[in-house]
Amino acid sequence: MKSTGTLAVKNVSKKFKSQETEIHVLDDINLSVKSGEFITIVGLSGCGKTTLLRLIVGLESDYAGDILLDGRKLNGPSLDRGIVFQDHRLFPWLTVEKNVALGIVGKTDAEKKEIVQNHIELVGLKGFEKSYPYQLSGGMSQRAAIARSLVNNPKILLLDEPLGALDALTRMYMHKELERIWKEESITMIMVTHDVDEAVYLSDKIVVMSARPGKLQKIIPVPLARPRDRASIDFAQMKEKVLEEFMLHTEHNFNYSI
Amino acid sequence: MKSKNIQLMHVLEAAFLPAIIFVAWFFASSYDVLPRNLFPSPVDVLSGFYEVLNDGSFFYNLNISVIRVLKGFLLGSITGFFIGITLGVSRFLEKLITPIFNAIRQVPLPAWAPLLVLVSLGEMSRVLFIAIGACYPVVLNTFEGVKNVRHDYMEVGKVFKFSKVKSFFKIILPSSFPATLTGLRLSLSISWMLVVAAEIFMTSGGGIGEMMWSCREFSRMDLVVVGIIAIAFVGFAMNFTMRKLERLFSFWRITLKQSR
Repeated sequence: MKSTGTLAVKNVSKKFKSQETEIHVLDDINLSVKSGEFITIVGLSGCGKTTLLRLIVGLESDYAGDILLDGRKLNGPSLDRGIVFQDHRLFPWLTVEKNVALGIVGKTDAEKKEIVQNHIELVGLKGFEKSYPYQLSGGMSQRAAIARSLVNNPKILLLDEPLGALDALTRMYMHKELERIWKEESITMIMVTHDVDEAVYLSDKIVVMSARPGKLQKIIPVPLARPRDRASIDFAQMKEKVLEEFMLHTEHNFNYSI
Repeated sequence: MKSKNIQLMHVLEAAFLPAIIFVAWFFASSYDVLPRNLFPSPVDVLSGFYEVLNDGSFFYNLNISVIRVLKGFLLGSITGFFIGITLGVSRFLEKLITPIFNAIRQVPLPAWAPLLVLVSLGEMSRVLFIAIGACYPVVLNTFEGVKNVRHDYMEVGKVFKFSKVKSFFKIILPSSFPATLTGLRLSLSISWMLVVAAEIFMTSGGGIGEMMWSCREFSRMDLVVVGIIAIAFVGFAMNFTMRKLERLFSFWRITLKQSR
């Protein structure tokens, strides 16, 4: 049984200071994530969504407010939070299995081997253990990066637009895979994206952010049954609802009364 | 089969110019364009080569030089590697040492010779002479390599709670290694160039440079040319080997460049 991964973000603000100017990146963000939830944060570029993720994983500090994991305040990175970066960041000089083994601590060699093997199988990379990153496609690289981030059984996995660079079909395929991994590992996932389709397909809740300063605009629950059908009317309506937040929905004439 | 033909083509291309020079040299000597009493003909050089091969002095001296170079190269490059790593890792030491390092680097190597003779009159002075020259490229390249380690990779280490030591061995060292290898290649080729100077400035230890220098005094220009060709040849072989090693160990960097 996996321990919980309940996250509470309370009144979090973040400013970046350069020599003269001060940029207000995040403004009073409040967000609570239940254990085992899949949350996506959607917003235009520059809305601070990546910064929020980096705060949660512990790569950025010096913020106002509180971020609590299972009730305890975060202090820097920790093995209970994993992250998959936008660019896979696999070490090019290591094979897939060595990349995956990179973060494992406090295990014997035999245990290590088993963990690596299990995770390589989990992400569907069996047979590519000895391959180097440059021999992998974009999708396969992200699979390896996902495996690497899961080896310590984190409570929360943070995903920073991990599928952004993939082609549309591979991306849809990876959505299915990500959903499967999420279920198998029963882990809390928070994903940053600007792909509304991706958000609706994967999330329990969609967090919409507005830009400059990054503010929480709306939290939209997605009550659709899984696995989700992209062709269904419900799915389309859900997408419409999210797009409305960006003024990108199609306006229907009957909505107007003159 | 095709790749074999391509390899043959490369060899032919590389041999083309030397062949032309050789032929031109041959005819220039036989038609007295090059006065033979000043500059030897290819035939003189070949017979001179045969002579020093036969009395054993060629390989005796070459052997001394090669071993001398390897000693100087190893001493200089290992020291250089540690200096480069230290400067790359510690900002404090970088600020402290870089200015004096850059000042010392400007001193022409022959200027060290008188001081080195004070240190030792024997082999040590020649080895140190080479080591000083061998050290610089390794310092500079290793330093650059460490400085250019991608911040992204360091963040991966942070997320996994790597200690400083672990980050060093798992990220900084492997990531900067190709740059170090480039430094080592330059260093070996500089060492080989310096050995002749070392043997001329600090004599009586034998070696190919000393052989050439004494032959000059006896007006055996044919043997001087033998020395020049031998030096060029060994230097070429060293550089070739180091390039292969560089390719071998930085395969991931080279392929990265090709694929992106």
